[in-house]
Amino acid sequence: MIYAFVGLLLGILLGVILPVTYPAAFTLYISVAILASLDSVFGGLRASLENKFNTEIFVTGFFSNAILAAFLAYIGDRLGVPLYYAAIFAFGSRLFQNFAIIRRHLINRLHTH
Amino acid sequence: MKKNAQKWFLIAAFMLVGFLITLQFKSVGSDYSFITIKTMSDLQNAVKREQDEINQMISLIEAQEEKLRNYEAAIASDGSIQEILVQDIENMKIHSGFYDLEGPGVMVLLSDSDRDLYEGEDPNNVIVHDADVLRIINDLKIAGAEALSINGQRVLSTSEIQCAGATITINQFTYAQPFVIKAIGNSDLLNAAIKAPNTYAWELKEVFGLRVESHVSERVRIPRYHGQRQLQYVSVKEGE
Repeated sequence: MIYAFVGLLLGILLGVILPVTYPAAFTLYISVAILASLDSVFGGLRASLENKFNTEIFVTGFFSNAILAAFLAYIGDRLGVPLYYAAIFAFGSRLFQNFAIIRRHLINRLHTH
Repeated sequence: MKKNAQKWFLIAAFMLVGFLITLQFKSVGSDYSFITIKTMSDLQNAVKREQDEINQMISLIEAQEEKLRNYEAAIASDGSIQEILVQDIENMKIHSGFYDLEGPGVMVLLSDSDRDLYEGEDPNNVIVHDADVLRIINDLKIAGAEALSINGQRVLSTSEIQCAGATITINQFTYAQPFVIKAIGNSDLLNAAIKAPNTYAWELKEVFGLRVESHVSERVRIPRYHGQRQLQYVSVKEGE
């Protein structure tokens, strides 16, 4: 858990410090990609708590999810159908699921110690 | 070893997420918004209109400054601006019908049609109406007429053109047809306002068969205004 917070803080710090910007037109893709990454990250956290963490699955999932979500958003933009809703829906519900499981693991740990 | 790698991957992934989130915050927080090409062109047009207006105002200012320079030059040479003021008053008097005027322009003759009516046709179709005269007067004004008269009555800003049966009342004098409208101005333009295809006068002539004639003249004479000049209700607003 602590690694997660450390990583998050480091990332935010980097984002604040580095003068990186992108065109406003990309905000939609980035936001969907963020959601996908969040899902992967929570999934990874859950797997590591369950001691089932697999590096290959984690890394490939992290990038392919993000890319697929951004791609869906792009296709939807072209077709005039907000396809990225699918990504938001899937990742959003998985996010809550993973979070619930993580919560249970943490509470269990607290009780056993 | 395995556990260690796991740790680093998680940290890296969280770092990336944090980084992306901050980026997104920075981008969305600033003044970016989606706009369509239409909005862009609309805005560009609006900007252009405003610029045109500004340019117009600037030219207005220049005109006023020119006037001011004239006054100053008059003061410098004669010590008084009386001459220019007198000139101004003369201009005003010409505008408001104090003088008999003369200049190049057109003479328009307007009278009822002498053709036979069709079976069941409305006789109003072949009669000159007050509205016809009014529209022709307006067309002449658009063409830059500086002074106008109808049957010898100077047309001022307060002149009425009223239907009075088969006759028309102008400046409280009543006239029967034919109506003679005189206008001083650029005679080519004025003539075109009557004769050019699809003008109102052309339509009267070609469609309804009224008699509409337009004669260009180098010396159109327009008499002064003979009516009442007393003002009963208006007063000058001070302090403007």
